[in-house]
Amino acid sequence: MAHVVTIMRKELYSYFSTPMAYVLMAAFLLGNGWLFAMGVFSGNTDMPDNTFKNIATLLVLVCPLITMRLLAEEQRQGTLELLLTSPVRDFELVLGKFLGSLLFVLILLFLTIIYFLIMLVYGQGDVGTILSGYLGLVLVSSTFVAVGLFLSALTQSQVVAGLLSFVVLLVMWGLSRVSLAIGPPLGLFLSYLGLGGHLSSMALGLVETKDLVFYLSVTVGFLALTAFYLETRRWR
Amino acid sequence: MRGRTGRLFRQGANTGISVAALVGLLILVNAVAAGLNLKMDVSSGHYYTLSAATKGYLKGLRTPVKIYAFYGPGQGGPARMLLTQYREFSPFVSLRVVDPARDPSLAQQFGVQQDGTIVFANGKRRDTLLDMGSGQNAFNAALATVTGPVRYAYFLAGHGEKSPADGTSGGLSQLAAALNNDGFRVRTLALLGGGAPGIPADCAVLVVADPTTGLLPAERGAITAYLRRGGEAIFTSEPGNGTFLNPLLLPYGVRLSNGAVADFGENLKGADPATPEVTQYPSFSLNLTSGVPATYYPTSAAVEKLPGSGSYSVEPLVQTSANSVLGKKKGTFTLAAVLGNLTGGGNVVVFADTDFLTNAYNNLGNQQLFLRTVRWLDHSKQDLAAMSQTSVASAPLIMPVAAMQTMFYVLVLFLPLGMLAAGGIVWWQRR
Repeated sequence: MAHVVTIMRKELYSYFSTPMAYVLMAAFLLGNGWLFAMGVFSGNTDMPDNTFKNIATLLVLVCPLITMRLLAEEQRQGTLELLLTSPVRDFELVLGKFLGSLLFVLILLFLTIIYFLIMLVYGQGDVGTILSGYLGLVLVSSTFVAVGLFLSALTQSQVVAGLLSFVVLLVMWGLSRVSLAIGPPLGLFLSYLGLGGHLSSMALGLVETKDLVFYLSVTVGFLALTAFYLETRRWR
Repeated sequence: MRGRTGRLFRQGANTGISVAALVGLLILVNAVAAGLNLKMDVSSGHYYTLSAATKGYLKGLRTPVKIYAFYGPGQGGPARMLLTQYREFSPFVSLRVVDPARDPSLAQQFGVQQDGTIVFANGKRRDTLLDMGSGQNAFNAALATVTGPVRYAYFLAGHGEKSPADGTSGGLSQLAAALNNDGFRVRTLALLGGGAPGIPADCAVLVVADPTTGLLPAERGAITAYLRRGGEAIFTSEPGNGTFLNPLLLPYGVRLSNGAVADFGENLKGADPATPEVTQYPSFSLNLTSGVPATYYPTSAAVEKLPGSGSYSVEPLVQTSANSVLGKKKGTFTLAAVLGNLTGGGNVVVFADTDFLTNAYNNLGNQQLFLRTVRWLDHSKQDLAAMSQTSVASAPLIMPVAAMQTMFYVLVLFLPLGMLAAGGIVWWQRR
């Protein structure tokens, strides 16, 4: 566990040691602030629900930028081999990288609390729904980071890893919408696989086990796939 | 060489089996979770939790009901989620969310005029409501409307009343069709058709729509007897014709004015003050008017309370704005009121206007108000509507202009720029 914490700290520190993290946070705040202000100006009646969805949609863009360098950069610099031959186990490496990135995304999410405070002050939304929505966002973030981490392990190029993550997340995010056009039973199946649909309930204040289990499954699944993939490097 | 290939094969097989086992396990866990379908409603007022009464009703439902929710992309989340609970609870309820822009023909088929329209359909029986944050009460009433037993609405005839069979602009044929879709069979009733005048026993609601001649004492006696035994009625009139209904209204301590109301505060845009528009209803009528769009009343009289009125309650249902005039009087005037004991039977709803129900003015709001009134009077449907009162706030976020400007500058300028400045400092220090 000590290895996990060490790697996690190192990852988190590396984000804040360059201006990139701040530019990312500024862009994230600008996008969300703009969408929130437009929602207020246009008299949107579903502000909490829409704000959660807007934040999650922007995470589709931001998370690949956060995760693209996680393992791709280690491979490009040749430090991954050192890590794999050190006493650190594969799953510790994966978990440490994952938690470091996830913590950075959670800091981004923390900055969005201001929108919901404004809503509460002006009489929209309720604490229960907001907490439930944030639970959904945390789960969505962990899924995005897990997917991005896995794709970062597949290539030495940060750009390729970032683009691949963006495309994969976009497809997974939009599956629920595509499924509407297809109709059951395939549509229902695709709708279940879509990452966006499972956030809807939580953004409205309804926590369902199937949504929790789905997000946790995808996260655990991709983390395990990353660990399996790293393991193959030992004997390939 | 063979040794290395064999080792690679074994390692690859091990990894493949591990991956397959993991995927299988995750699929199994998801299938179990989806089957269990455990939920925790943490929303305000537990908006998405079906009440025991609603569940009881849904358990007894044996008629397929199709619900069409017309929403643009990303709209109507709370109502859609609540309707999903209905669908998941009863196999007889199906839900289809329709984007009117992508399926305009279906929207046109159901007469949808704006996003947020929800149609409950059981064959040809339909009920349409507008999502204005109303919850199970409105949905239950709509379900009851399209699945409940057929009821009879009788329209009085023989005194120049507006007719439900009249398809001209001054007739009530569209209203009759809407009543029919709402589960009511419409019949006309001539009280002096032979024998002793009387209201049929199967009459759920008696409608007296603007008589232009007086009712005979025997007819008035028949209506009074009907009301005394718990019957329900709707009286409507026009300026100048109130005198023909006033004898029936006097026992309730009200009368209809002779002149017309002019509303200078709220009137139909592009029309004159003689067409008051109503978007907010008195608190008494909120259960009845929940989800009803704006209504308007071309040349309406007023319901006036008489001094020293009797033992009946008089509750305003529709009122003008405070900036209204009737003759020399100024203030708020009542355009419709509920008269009677309110909780039991024998209630009368009187509208000081009839034009608003005719084919010429039969818009969604006017029609919905009338249908809701009929339903409210018909206790078999009222009970179900009252099962649950949960609702969700659907009002937009209203901020003072100054606060809105401050919010914009803080969220769109100061916060992002502050973050960029922090990044600049980091870059400067590490340069």
